[in-house]
Amino acid sequence: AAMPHVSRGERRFIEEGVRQNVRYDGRAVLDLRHLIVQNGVIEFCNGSTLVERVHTSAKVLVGVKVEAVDLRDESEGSELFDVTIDCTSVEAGEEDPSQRRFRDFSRRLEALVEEQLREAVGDGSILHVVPNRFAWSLAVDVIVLGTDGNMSDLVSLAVFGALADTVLPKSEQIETEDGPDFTIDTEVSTAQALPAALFDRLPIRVSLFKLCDTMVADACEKEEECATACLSALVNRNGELCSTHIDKGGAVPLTSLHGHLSNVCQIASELFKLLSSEFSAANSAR
Amino acid sequence: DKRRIKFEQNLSSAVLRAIQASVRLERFPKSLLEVHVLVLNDDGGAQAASVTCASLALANSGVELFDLVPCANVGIGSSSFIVDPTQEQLKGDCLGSVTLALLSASEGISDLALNGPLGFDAAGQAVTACYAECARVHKLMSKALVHSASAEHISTADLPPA
Repeated sequence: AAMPHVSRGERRFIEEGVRQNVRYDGRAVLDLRHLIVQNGVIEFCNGSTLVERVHTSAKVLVGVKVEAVDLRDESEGSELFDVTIDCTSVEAGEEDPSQRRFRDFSRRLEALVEEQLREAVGDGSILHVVPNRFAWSLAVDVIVLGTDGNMSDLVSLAVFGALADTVLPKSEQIETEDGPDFTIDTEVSTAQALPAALFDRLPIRVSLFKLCDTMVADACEKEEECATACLSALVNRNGELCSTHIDKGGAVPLTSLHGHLSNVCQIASELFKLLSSEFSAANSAR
Repeated sequence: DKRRIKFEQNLSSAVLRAIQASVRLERFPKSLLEVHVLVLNDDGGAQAASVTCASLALANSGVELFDLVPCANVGIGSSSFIVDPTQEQLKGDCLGSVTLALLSASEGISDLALNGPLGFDAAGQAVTACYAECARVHKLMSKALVHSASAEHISTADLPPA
């Protein structure tokens, strides 16, 4: 979708509406838009998820591929995940020929997804097949098929879903003359999910956007355009804050910060309940 | 090397987020303000020091600002808070850290960088500790600017008349 142009009248309409707790699309200030989540949409990936927002053009497809790596070949400090963001579907509809906006957008999304995965993977020991010798490396490919505001939150949900859908081949550690090694069972029926401890640490992103003096959740494209600040936080399923920052060049009042962080944690808690029920139903069906 | 580049990119974004809210951008249409930060040594707290330094540099250069941006870093230990922790303390004793960039006059937070995971209450208490430290840093920044302005005034007063 091309960058929305918000006229002065529209801006005033949006801001006055938020003051009266009625938003551009009729939601209350902390209401989220409905989501449709589909797992296993890409057959050749270890895990994949398609997430879309109902009645909007926002759609994100995430595929996860897993590869066994020898840690001796990896440089010190390298991470066991690699993220690529593809916005070409959206760029095609962009009027600006320089397309710098979407390059910056892709770069920013990549940094946000890496931040999310870093919290989950930590020092990498959780993905080790043979401790300090072989490990699983995750290649996460995010394809943004359509935008409609608050894409960072949608992408984080899609990444969570793809990782929940990811299966690893069953591995067994063996001893060889050259030292510890491992074998893989290629039967799909014996495949296992990622370690449960990873999901205890994997956070999702929740963002609040400042419109006038009110913070709204899950802003649509025009609301995001009018927002003067954005408080973005990564929250894990234990309700702990993993990371926060404030974007869009604005400021959040110190006196109300506690309330906003409380709202963020509450929204994250509701989302985790929905995601848990959604993915446990999908896993039992599989 | 890749890690250093990522660190520099993240630090650049953090400094931009923190100081952007303090600059009167509408006074500089069709302009680009470049802020270059050179970290000579980092023993923890590079982000807080960079933001404070960048804000002081902008004020010293005469760029119109809404406010100074003092920035403070607090580490959360197992039983207490560590104000301005060293690298060793961040890696060893600290369960997490909070870096707060504050617009002192309006009491607005221009950036809150939290490294966790942290419980909600611990995060709130750490923000309070950061606020107290930011107030102290703000006084030092104001004093430094006044001293700098006075020194310039004295040095130009010493010059012989044209």
